[in-house]
Amino acid sequence: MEFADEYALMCQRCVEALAGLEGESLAVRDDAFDGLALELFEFQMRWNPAYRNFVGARDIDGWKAIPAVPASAFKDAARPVSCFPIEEAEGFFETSGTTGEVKGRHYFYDFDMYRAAIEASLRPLQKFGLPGDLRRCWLPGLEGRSSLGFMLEFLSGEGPVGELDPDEPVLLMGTALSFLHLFEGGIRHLPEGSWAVETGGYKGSRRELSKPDLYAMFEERLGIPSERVLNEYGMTELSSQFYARGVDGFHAQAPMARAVVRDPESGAEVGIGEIGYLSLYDLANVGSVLAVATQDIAQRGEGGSFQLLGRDPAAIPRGCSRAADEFLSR
Amino acid sequence: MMAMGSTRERAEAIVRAAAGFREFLGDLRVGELLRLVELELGSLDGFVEHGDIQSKAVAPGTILHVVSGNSPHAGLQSLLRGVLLGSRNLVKISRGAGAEIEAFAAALGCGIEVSDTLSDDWLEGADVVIVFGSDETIDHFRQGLRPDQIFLAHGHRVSFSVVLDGSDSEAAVAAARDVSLFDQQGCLSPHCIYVGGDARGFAGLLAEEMAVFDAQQPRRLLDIGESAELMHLRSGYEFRAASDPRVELWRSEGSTNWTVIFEEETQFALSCLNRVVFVKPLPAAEAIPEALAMVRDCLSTIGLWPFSPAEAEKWTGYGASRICPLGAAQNPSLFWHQDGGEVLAPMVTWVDLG
Repeated sequence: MEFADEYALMCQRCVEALAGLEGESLAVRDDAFDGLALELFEFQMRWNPAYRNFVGARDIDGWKAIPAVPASAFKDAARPVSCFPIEEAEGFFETSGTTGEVKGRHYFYDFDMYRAAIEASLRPLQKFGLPGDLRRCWLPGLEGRSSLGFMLEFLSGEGPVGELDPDEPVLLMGTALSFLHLFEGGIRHLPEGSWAVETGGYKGSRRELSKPDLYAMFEERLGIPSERVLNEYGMTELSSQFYARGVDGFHAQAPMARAVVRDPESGAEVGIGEIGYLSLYDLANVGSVLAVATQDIAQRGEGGSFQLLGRDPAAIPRGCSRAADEFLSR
Repeated sequence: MMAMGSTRERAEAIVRAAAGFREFLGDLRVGELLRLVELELGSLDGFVEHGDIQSKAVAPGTILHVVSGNSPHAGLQSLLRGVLLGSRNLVKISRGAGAEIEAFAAALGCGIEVSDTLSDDWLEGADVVIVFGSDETIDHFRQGLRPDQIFLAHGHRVSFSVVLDGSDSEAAVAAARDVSLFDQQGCLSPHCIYVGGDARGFAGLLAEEMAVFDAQQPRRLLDIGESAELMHLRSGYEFRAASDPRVELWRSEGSTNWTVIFEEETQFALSCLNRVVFVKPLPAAEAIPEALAMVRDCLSTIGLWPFSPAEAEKWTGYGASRICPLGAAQNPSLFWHQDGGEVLAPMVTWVDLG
């Protein structure tokens, strides 16, 4: 079978699994996830030679055993993490980074699956009480080929936030930095019943606010209590997103994606309540790799949830060379 | 004692106190401490000839040492020098990371105060402020000082090694020691080893010696962020190595204890520390500046094998302030010019007669 045909089939299988979700069951059921993940793994082993070489000969007995590619591998221009020739991609997203830093690229054969994953990722928010029919709008502040920019635009279906009808609550989305800029503009209470989605991130700025301080400002400046503020956790290297509510919220399992918190020394999954790094398994990553290892540190919660503890532990100054690294990246 | 007594008495007190800190300070001798004073200052106890005049070095009344938390060496050496000068010494340590400094201060006796918080009194009362840390930390202190206060900054540095013959297994033993000691937390620890001849073969030899060293002196336990960072770097290179014959990786199994990465690319690579080292082919002489361009301004030490003054001299033009025998990178001489400068002279002022 040609790649295009097999890819289309794989996407169809995943979309069908999503469509089959009903009522309480907001994520692809465990057995279905396992079957689909292993099928997708086989597909990616066939079409992605760099991944095939990396995996080598191993017995994979379930989705958690699927070898995860480190997010940094997406920076290797000579070996794109892709199942198809990158010239055939509909497009790609690029990681943000400081000047001179190599950027990671995630190529997409088409964006259909990506759009489906974005929309699907919002579903668990119903559990948090988010009304499904809120008008969505977003704050400007993203540049380049950012997956986040694509996501925000796709979700809102309109341009950056403009005039608001005081009687129409909204779902306002943006990076933490863009909200900070909004707060600095003064107090501007949003219509009663509004929600906010902040995506983290203060990149390109030396400023950073603790999460409790940021969420306090949502209430003070916008009139949105912290239980109606959501954090979105996503990556250029993934297609799905994970959401958490409030200051201490855990990120819920996404409909098409699962997170495993692993011990960095042994690679084994940690127990509930324990801390490790996140490996993510995303069925919507059809054309690249479904398993991606991050450097993000998280605490494992119940039911596949996790609480992020550090988005970027590498940014913590440590030892001589760390600062040299900062020095070099300037 | 401290401000009291002669330089010899202070040197004797230092040697007594330093006996428990050989790991960091080496084997100190009274004669060497006095010789250091003589070389840089002539004397601290009287006037010395200075051209056609007589001059006397006057030690600062109070020295404030702001030391970083990553390794105790620099802080201990800095304190030692301050005590040798006979000054009052204030040491600001990082929270939870200054046990060795506190112990050394206690062994030295009075005249030294150690704290993990910095009061305005300390800053304002210091005649000399010495800061070890990041550019940001250094800038912070520099901006807060008066013009009459002497400011000495030690920014972060990186080091590398050069092995001229990759088939030499003794070199692998020495390199493993330089990489592993103190878990690469200091500026003297090599990130990269440039190897002449069979560089890939040397990486294999080094891996064996890293394992041997680790069995004898296990690395400290990492915090979760360090561990995750190391794992991530390792698996990134594993991904590359699987498809790129120019890359090969050796690692401790079932732990992150040590990692050796061979890479044909000669560009200097920064390790994530904690016993992760790159082995690269030694570039031709004309290509070395380009390979080191990124780190030229922050180089500290080059560990050389085999070491000879003639060979070492060839490596003096690349920005490093110290070229030493491989295996001795972590043990600088008492007489070394730290970061290329004298260690006592910048702290004193002079009184001239004539």
